[in-house]
Amino acid sequence: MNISEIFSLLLACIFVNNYVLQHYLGFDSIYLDRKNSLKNHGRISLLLTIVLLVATTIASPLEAFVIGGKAEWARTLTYVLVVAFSVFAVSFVVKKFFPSFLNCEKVNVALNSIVLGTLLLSSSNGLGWGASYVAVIGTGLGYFLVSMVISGIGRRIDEKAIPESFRGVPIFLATLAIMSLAVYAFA
Amino acid sequence: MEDKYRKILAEVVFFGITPALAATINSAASLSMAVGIIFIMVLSTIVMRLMRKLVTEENKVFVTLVVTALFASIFQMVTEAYAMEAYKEIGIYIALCSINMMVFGAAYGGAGYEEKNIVGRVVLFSIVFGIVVFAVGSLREILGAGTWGRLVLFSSKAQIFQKAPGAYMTGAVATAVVAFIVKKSTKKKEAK
Repeated sequence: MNISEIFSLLLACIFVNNYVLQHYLGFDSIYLDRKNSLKNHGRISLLLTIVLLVATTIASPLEAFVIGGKAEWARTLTYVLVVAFSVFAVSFVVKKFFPSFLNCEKVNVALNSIVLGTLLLSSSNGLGWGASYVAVIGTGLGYFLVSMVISGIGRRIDEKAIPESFRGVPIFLATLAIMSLAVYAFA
Repeated sequence: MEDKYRKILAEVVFFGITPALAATINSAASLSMAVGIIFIMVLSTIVMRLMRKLVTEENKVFVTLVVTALFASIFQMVTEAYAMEAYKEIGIYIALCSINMMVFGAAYGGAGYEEKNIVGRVVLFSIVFGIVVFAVGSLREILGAGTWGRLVLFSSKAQIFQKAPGAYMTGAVATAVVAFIVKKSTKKKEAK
């Protein structure tokens, strides 16, 4: 891959092909963390990117040498196990060496559909190892971008000015629809 | 249904809707996804319920992930073998059901001792959720393609409803309707 290809793939993953806004991945976790500070959103996104990097490092050779050949039926189960292992490994290291970094919500990250979704989409799009790493970094930045915007409005979506039935989840989804529409214009 | 379960229904629908939004481009795909979610959710809860004496607190998360992933794989393989068209449309999103918060939460709860009739409630929740998913898929197909199944309803169509912004907007309306129904029924019960 040359520099321009890397740059265009990175920009695609952040804006045009943002996994939260265009592939519906990880928005439930953003909703749960909507009242966090910007600093915490940055930390969660960084943790997510590290988990994705570890998971990609394990999953890429498995996909190339084991699953891709004869064991396609085991892809989902293998990827879920890879994600679970990566999350537990990263959270163990973070707790051991950087205890003040974050109150590690390991289950939240493990259940974050963006981790498994990115691995599966990279595999189905046939991205190589290098491209997968760039896509992973772009995914982390894209996730941070959306969570940063949501953290700005996170406290307002429960306000009384909004009709009761539309408060919380529905207005959050409507906000994502508008953001998604804005990003859709780039495509 | 007890009141506390009515109140959390809107949020349950939201946490389950992640893979469902992607798979609700049309009514056929949404029906496949609804059946898939009911299958994965109910069977993984039953299996976790049966295994609850063998599972310890430390490995509960891990075992739940494996069980839900196993049923997601089974459903993926069955869809690939017998409904290739549906498989092409819902593709990887069946796999995502295994880590879906609603599916995982139900299976994880199945391994606990607090809830006594969790399987019955999960069956009820999953059927309600399946109806919501099918309604969202139908609405998106009617507005986005002007058709419903093989019926041609309109010649004009708003294709944005078949893309991500339309999916989020339809999801917003669906969760608002669920919240409204929940609120009304709770108020009616309180009045009695």
